[in-house]
Amino acid sequence: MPAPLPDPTAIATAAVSVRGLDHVHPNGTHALTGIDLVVAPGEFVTLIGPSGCGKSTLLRLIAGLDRPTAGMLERHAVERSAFVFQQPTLMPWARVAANVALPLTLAGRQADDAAAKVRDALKQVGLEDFEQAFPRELSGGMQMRASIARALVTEPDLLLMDEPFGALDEITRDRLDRELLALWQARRFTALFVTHSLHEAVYLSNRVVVMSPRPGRIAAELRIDEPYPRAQDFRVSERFVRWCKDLSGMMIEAGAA
Amino acid sequence: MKPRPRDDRPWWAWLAPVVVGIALTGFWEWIVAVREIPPYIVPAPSVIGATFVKDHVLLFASLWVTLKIALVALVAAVVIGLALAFVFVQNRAIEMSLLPYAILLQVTPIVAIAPLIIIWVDDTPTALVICATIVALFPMVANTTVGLKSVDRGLLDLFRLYGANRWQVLMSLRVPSAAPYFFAGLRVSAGLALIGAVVAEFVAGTGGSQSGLAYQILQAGLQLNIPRMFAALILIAGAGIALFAAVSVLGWLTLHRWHESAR
Repeated sequence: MPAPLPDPTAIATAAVSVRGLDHVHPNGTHALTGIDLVVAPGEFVTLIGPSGCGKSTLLRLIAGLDRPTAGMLERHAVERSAFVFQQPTLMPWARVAANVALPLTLAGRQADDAAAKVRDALKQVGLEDFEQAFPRELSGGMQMRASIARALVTEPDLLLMDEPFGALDEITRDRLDRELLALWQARRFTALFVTHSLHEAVYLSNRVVVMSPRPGRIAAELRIDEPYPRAQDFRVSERFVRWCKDLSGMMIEAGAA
Repeated sequence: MKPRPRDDRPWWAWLAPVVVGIALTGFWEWIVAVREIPPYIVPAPSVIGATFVKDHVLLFASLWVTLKIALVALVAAVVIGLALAFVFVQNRAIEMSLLPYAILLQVTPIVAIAPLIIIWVDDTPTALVICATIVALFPMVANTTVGLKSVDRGLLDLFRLYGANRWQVLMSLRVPSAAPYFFAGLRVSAGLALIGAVVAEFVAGTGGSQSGLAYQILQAGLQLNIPRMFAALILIAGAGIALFAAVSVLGWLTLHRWHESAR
């Protein structure tokens, strides 16, 4: 089943649109310059580039955690957004259920209503048996799953992920990539994903945005024209290798690799 | 699923210090007997024990007086310390203006301030509580302030992202983050409250029905009643250990499920 893709140039229907965005950090570093980016609803877009290319900064700006120095940044039809950090960022003093419930508790939701949503979110990441566990009792991969469950519990229409699996071993990372893709297909939220793994970018995305550093800017874009669901076979197929080669070539050309 | 920390202490771990204690006490008893050291220089453990039995009404009444002062002071230090720490993290200007005075209070020896406080405050027990509170206050303020500030940046971002207000950030994020620091401070403050109470009693030299253990030591010293001095000393040390153990257990109960300091 190929993913139905809306025309990404149609700004009116975009989930996120960024125009001529510039950002200078308080310490004077010019982090981003002239960023134009349109993300369609339900699209899976990956930002890739070396450290210091401003991809995390761009994600934080889109999340609203920082304000851009100049330029336009708009989110349309995004009622709920969620953020997954590189670290699981769980509260060590709270059980998994309470951690996942955090967005609901902060919004002052009723407890019984929240409990059902939490159970549902934990089930989606396969952690239904660990509601009562403390974060330190979980492995790194399971902690990351809990972190994703916390993001899913609000049923976001925009999910921002900043190298969420970057600190995990490759086997765990591959499995979580697969699970994330399955969730995205089931829920069809808009996904903005930051990584510096070429393979992860090709495997997951509708579209890969290549960024280059000093100052951070968008150097190139690659549309991965492959149908979903993308099975494990795809990761070892000749086509996959060709996409990776293309992307790698673009990154070298952009001075991003 | 739940990894239990392995208790790799050998079975004799608790026995060893007990054996050392018995051996030292035995040696003490023996050397005093052999050298015929008079009890007004060093009393034998058996003599101290007999004094305990003979004077237990007086000694335990005094212990209770001192302990009450230390406990009230500790509670006051916790309440004032927490309040100050909360104010400090909410407002940097207030922290900058008040912190130097908290440090001033900390570095000035309590024996030097105690006479003033005893002159100013008519009610002696109140004066003693104030002295002990001053001594016990600083670890509470300093530790809790550091704890309330030592918040995971990612969690702080997350709270902002989900629209948490200041109160929610304080109660659901800063307070739990500060708990390990608070309990580390509480262990220090508990000991300091007792020391503050004893030192203030020494300075005040109060007698009568309100006399604490420090007064018993002073009086016993003047009367060359060294066995009673030792007995009072042992009670103070015992009270200090009990207080330390009590707050340690309190900290363990609160933290052991999630914090590495209390495994």
